Amino acid sequence: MELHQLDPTTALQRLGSGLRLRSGPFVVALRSDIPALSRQVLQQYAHHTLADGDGFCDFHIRITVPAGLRRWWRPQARFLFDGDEPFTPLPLHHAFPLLEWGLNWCVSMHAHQYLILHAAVLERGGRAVVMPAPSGSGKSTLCAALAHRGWRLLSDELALLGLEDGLLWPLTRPISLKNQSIGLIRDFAPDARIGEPVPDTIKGAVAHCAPPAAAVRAAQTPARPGWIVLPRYTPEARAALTPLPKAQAVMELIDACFNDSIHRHQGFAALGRLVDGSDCHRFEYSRLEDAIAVFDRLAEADLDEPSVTPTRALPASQCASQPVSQPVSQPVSQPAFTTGNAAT
Amino acid sequence: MPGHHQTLLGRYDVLDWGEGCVVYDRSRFLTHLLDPATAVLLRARLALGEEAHAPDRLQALLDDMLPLTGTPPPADL
Repeated sequence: MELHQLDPTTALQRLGSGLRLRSGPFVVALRSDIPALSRQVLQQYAHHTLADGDGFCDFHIRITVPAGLRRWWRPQARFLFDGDEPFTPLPLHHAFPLLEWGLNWCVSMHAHQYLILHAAVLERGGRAVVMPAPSGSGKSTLCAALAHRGWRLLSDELALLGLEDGLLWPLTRPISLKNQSIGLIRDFAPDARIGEPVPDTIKGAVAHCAPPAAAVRAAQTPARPGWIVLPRYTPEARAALTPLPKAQAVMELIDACFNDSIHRHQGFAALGRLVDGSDCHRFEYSRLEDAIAVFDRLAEADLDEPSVTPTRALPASQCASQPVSQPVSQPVSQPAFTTGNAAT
Repeated sequence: MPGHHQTLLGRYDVLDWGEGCVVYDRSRFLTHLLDPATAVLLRARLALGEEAHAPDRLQALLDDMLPLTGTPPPADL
């Protein structure tokens, strides 16, 4: 049963006492007494499946308001994980972003059965595109656009790479849109279910875009790697892919990896296999329509040539000519975590 | 073309796609991207069978090639 199939009153009651939702390979028990947050959950997780009430649960999360003065004066929202509070409270109207950022933290800090990368993942024709990129690069905007134009969303934030099978496992959750990208996606995909923008967060205005129903329903189906694309929004840039040397791609992925220090050489080997099975590119774009066209050509070229080698270059018309930059040694570092408000 | 993956001296995992080379140092938990000239030198020394015949020389080369900078080891070590 999907969440939207519950009548709203029952759904709100369940949220008050503990609602169990399947999110990719995880079960999340979510409890909240904040009405505005509950409405957002019902909208953004409408097509997620309800889990058994007495089955195993990976993450027990509660979003609540503090007792005492903070309930009334400049009210706040608290994020509790297994009863602990890993983050400082945020203003009450930040409750839904707090839930999403907190869930990202739960997965990236605990789901070490996977190699976890800060990257968007989408799939077309059975092959996945992995898009690691720093904040502000246009990753989520591009991800939302692709998810509403025929690409299956696996994740906007966290790529889950199976260490044994080398597959990318879905974690299909809302896409976090920031600032101008909110209006951009509203115009680009009028059918997208986008929540009300939340102003003044650490990232500016944030609104979440619900994952398409079909993607949520396919959230138990992994995809094999196909492409690694490092996107970057550049005003006025022509949409163009530039080949990325595979060794450089490994370094970019390590930079985006949350738990490489746990998996060590097995994680390094898994990244090597991921890169082996992927065509690697940098991608610059300014207009979403042009970006989608380039990605569609990428997928179509692959469908036309199922036996292409990973080192295949795109046709010249699809590639910008750019010298390969001189590689340099660089240390491994963990990506900055997106909440930015971890309690000490 | 898949990359060539090998482990040197039981310590260094090397991924080599010809165009560039990445080395993971299991002892220091650091990953290094070798520039093309350095990668050519490493390949040449391996082709000479140095790992089997002169592991100390290969170790000295790797010590010289790989900087010591990077994130510290995990806290549990």
